[in-house]
Amino acid sequence: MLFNSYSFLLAYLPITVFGFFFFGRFGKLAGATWLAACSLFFYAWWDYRYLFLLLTSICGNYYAGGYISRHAGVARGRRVLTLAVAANLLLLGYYKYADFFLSSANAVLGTEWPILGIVLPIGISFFTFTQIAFLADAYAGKVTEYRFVYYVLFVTYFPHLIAGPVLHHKEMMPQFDLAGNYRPQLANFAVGATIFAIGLAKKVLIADNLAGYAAPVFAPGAAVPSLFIAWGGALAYTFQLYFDFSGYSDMAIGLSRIFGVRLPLNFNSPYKSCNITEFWRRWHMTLSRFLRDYLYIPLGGNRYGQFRRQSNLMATMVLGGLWHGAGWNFVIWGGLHGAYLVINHAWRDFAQSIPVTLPPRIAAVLGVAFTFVCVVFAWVYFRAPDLATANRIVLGMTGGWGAALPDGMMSRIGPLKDTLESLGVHSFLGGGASFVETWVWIVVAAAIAFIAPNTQEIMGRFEPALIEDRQPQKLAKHFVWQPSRRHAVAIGLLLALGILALSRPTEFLYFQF
Amino acid sequence: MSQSSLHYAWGPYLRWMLATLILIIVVAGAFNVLVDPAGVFGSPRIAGVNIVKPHLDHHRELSRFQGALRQCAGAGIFGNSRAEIGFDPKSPALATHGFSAFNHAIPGTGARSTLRQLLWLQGAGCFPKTIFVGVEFFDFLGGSKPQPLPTLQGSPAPRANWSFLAESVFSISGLRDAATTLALQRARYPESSTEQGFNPLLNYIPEVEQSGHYVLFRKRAEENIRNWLRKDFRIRPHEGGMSGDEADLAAILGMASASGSKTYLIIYPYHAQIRMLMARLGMGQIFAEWKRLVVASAERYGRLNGDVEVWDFSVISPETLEAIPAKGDRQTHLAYYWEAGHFKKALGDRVMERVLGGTGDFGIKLDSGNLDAWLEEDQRRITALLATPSPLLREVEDLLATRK
Repeated sequence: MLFNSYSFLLAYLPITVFGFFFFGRFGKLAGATWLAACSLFFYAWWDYRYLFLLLTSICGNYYAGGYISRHAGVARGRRVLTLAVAANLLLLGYYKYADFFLSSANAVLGTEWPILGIVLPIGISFFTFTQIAFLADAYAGKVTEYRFVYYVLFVTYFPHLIAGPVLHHKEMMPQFDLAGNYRPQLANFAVGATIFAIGLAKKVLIADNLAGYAAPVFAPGAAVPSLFIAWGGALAYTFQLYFDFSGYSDMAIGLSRIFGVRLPLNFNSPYKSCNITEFWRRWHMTLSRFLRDYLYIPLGGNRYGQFRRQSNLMATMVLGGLWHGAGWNFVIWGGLHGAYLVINHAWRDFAQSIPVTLPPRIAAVLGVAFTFVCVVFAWVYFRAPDLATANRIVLGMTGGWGAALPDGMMSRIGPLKDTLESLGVHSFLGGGASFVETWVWIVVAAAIAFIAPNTQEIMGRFEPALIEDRQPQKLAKHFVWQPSRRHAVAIGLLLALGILALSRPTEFLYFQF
Repeated sequence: MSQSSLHYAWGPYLRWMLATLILIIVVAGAFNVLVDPAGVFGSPRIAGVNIVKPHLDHHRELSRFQGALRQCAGAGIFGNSRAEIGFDPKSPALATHGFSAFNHAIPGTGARSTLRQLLWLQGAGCFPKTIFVGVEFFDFLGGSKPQPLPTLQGSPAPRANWSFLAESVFSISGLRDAATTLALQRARYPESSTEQGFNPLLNYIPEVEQSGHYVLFRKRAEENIRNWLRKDFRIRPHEGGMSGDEADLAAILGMASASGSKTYLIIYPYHAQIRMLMARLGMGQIFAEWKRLVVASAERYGRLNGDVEVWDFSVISPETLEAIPAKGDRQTHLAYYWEAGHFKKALGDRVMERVLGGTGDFGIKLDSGNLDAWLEEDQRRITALLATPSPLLREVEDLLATRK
């Protein structure tokens, strides 16, 4: 069931909300049980055959977590932690990577091991990571809440179950135990519905429209793309992914807020980042946090000198890439980001020794532009169905297939045509309307992504999401939301447009991971 | 939630938001039903609002079927976009012969779609007495595997169900269609469909003025070559026996014969550029084989109750040799063709006139008696065309040389 579907909005959500507050009158446990049951139903709606797998994973981790926390910090606990994490990774590895490794082995060794054709259980990457974090927290002695129903709810809580955010046990359990959350509060409804409306609009009004301009360029059999077409496709996908995933995250945060539960922030205008390190503090923040806390730091982080630090960064990012999908494209995408981070760290060290500095504003603009271009190149590998397609597009983006504009456009630009032709820009027949539409959508999406405040900044007065302590809450200079009549009408309009665009709902891009 | 937030007027905020949401959805739905872009709700046609209907790229089966039921015409035109764009139910020839006609053709569809449409019309008691079916060689190319024939139970007639309401009434795409309809009323060259289902493709006139016919021919030819080369050059499945398209055509003819309807199978008037490309790509022989198949099917059912005629307009003739304007020529408007695969109403009218008894050399009625001689003549004309230097031949050679 998609958040952006009639069945979810008109049936599942009202019934779940009503039942939650109805049963909540009989106690927190009753409300939490109802919500957990609804969340399991939500999961089963996708594919009931994997419900057993999910429940097995939950029960196994719950009992392992209990044992580990009773032996926190000691060898027995560590042994069980190792076993439990290994079991989780084996489960994930089997469902997600078995075919990848088999096909890779066949290609390298010349063997003919049959491909298993395993169907990836939806959300397995997310619920596995969520529970690995729980096990690690249990060993660190950070787990204090052990009621089974709360644990089931923590893992299956439907706003985050399929595509995150990746949750921490310690930030969710206290909220599930808060009596006030089991009583309906108009403030939560208003804030939640508003955030949801913004997320829905991002998804169905922007991301879904961009998809149609990215897809033809990334199609496996597509013609070789010239410069502007290659960039058009890559940028369309760059913004599609952002508005799709950040829209989903807003919807998850908004839905959860209706139940009084705040989810962690997952996006913070990542394309405004001045460098790649900052990008990863703003993009898919809960995954970055997970990779930092449970992979990079345990690998040694920056504690063992420069070389180990750079190796750890590379390893973390390559594994992060592989987490997104079983394919060499994702390995390359992760490797590229690892290399970006390594170069960024090296540059920062080097830049300190340069006596000349640019004015801060110019440095920021250059930093944002350079970071963005690097990210766009990497997204090509993330999106392309195979390496050949990715390489073809990257070659197009570097001018390898030449540069061309639609004939209809070239014939209307007067003397500029000669200038462009002298620079090697040719013309191609037809496709002018699609070309112009692609770039208009890119400009609109870029303006929103780079200039407009994000949801967190718009809603900042009402603490829409959990943010890490060290990050101060930033408010928008303009478009600051408050529950006024004017804003109610604006959000009602946005919600109406979102609902009117639901007739053919499309999946969120991150559901495939 | 901070304590200060508790002092806001949350109730009025939610009420205003909900009221706005409901109001907009209701107004959007009412507006879409009133304008009725697809002509499905039978809303009144109001001058300046919705008299001209847009040519929509969705819900075409429903839109066509509803239009057909309203007309319940005695003659029906079936086929793909070539028939939709080329055959005007109000053509003089049809009018002269007293036919009330409706164009059921749907772009991108083949014989299976025609068969289902006929089933629906039969179910609704509007089965046409005269049937014009555009038969498409490129649908048969590849030799599709036969599928079970559709039935009225298994493939019921389209209707305005909940899914349609969601997609066309309470939707942004519905609003877009309604806004397009309003804009069309004042457009010089509207992208529209007539009440009889004909798409005059007027929106191609500005395309020609902006890009020229050459661009349209070239783009379409490049696309055609890519599409043809994806298929096997065969018209029967690997396993042998009838292809899916052949079985569907047989079912159409059987159904028409059983209903006592007269059927005209029309082989479309492809521009000579298409014929030359086909020949150079090695499809000439299979095209001839396909014509034999069509004639054989027609005679099998023609000998029963029905009356089936096959007309071949794919011939090399002055009409199909209409010169393609040079690149950059944005002034010339061709008389007969938009591009090589899609002919204009003027040529469609000539086809109808010929089929309904008109004289002239354009097109030929095929039967087993004249088929062999005609195929030989056809081959001779193509060979001569490919052996004589001409701008058209240069263009064909260039298309084949530069294909990616």
